[in-house]
Amino acid sequence: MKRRIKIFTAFVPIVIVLIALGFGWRSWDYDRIRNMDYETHSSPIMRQANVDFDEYLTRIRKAMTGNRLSIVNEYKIGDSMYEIIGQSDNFWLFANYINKVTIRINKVSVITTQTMQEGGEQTSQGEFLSYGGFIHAGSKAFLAIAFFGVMTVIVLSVRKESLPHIFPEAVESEDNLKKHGQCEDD
Amino acid sequence: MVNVKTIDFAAQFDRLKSMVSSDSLRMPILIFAAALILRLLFMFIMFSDIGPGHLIDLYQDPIKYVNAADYLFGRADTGQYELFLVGVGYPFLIALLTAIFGDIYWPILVVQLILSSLSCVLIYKIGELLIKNRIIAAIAGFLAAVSITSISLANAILSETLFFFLFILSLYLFFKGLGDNRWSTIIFAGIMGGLATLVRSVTMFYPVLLIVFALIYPVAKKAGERKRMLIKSAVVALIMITIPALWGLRNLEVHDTFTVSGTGVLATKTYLTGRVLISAQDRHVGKFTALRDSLYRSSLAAYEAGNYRQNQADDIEFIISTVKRYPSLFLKNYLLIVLDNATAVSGLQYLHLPRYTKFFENIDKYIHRGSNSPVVLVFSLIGFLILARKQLNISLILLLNVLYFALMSGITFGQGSRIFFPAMSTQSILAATAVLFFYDIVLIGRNFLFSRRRDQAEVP
Repeated sequence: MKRRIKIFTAFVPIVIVLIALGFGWRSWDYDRIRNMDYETHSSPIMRQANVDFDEYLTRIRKAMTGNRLSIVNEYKIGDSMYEIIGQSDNFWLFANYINKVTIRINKVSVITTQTMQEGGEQTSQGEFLSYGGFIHAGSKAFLAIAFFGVMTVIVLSVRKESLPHIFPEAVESEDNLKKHGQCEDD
Repeated sequence: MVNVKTIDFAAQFDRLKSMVSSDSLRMPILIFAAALILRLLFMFIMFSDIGPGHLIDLYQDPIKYVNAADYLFGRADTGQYELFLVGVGYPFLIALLTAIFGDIYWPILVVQLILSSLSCVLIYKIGELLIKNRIIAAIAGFLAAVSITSISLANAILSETLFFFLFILSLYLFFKGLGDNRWSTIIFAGIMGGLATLVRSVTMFYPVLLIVFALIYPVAKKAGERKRMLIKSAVVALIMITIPALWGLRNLEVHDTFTVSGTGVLATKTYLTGRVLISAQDRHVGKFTALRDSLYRSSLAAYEAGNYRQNQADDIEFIISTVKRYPSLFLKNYLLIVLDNATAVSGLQYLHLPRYTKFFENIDKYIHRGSNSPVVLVFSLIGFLILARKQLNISLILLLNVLYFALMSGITFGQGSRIFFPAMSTQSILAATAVLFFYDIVLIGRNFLFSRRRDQAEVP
């Protein structure tokens, strides 16, 4: 019982540290992609003119989901840029890549329909240019470290006698101890 | 009352032990047969897919070796630069076999298949010798036998298979020689190690590690035993340095530069230093290829003009100046490349078996989840921890070997698991230990559940 408590108390802080590390690493990945300079680390992917921004955005989103990217976040930067963050899996833990699409809004003109006075609509049309870039997600490295951390505790806490194929000498000496103990009892 | 758990474990152990057998030949033969069958199968599928006539035109390196071989045996006037670059070991084998069989290359593959299969047996023998556990050694041998890196390299006109065989034979004879009284074993270990360095110069610093091994190898408590081991390792180191040095002297005579092969400096310049410069300028990683090719072309022009000595000196100067200018960036990129190579998965099979591209892509996508997989590395580290509980010295020796090749791999990248392949000589033993550990853990869990159910059944 005491041994089990010891093992449990060794495990708990490790698990807590690993969970905290996971969240921290995920956060760091998202910060890295957000701060990635699209001009030097991305390539142009789509340019369109004379379309609505919403329509263009929909096309970009569709292209991302069509490439099996899960959209994580979207935000506007000032009046001339829009960014979409996606990753190659729904969960960061299983994602290989984190992608960013940066949409540069070059020109916007407001189009008013003829029936505006009768309650018509204004739409924005312009020239949009998108850049796509990616970083490798740190999830694989994190999982490797987490697995190694947990296994280290297991390796160090398992008794040698319980690993007969690796420590056969420990099993044999335990057997001898028990036999001698039995003889003495007899 | 005897512990039920202990009896169960003992029975399990006896069953596995009898499979591995006290007959010392059965397991090596099984490992050799399994390895050879897999490699032959790969070769036959490859020939049915791409044909035996395309062995040297799938990628760049084979043609370099062939050109060097032709120049070495006086069959061509060109190839001098390639011989300088790749060293003499593998071109010699190619030249010899093409002299016997003509300008066909599949006989080289046949030789390599046998050497590769023997290498798997040698891994088993090293495991048996060092950790005295036949089960782990057998698992290590079989892991090497089924390694797609090993299988695909054995089926490629590349120097890795010949190098690996010579190196691991040297390693096995070295450890055997430390323990016995025959000097022939030690001398032969040195000769094999020297020949391995002639094939790939990556082991040119390995003699230092041999001295370290002699310092930490477990000794029986006999007077002077450690001193004898150090002398033996010094002899191996000396032979291992002398043999490639002879080729270095030849290069000094012909090219006015003492080097075993020019590939080390060239790779450091084009790959590692190129990557550092891209990082320093904060340029897109896609720009690296253009820079690398430009750096390579500048060296190639100088070599073709015959300026070997000056070009090597310039390349070394270029590398040193980059290190001085960006020391932390250099170290960071070097370590990232080491990690990349240590976790890279094999990519050669795509070229050898193009018909199965989709199959390999699915494996990379769903199992490896990319072009890198840390599984084997993590298993090796776990195996190290386990073996450290059994015998710290031996586990350190096994890990240092892996570490050596990891550190040597930091000068180049982009070639999949090929660069880190020599580490398999002991990494497979460490990984095998982890595999066996997991098996025992599963048994513990199963026996725990079994004894709980039995206890519950006994309660009235």
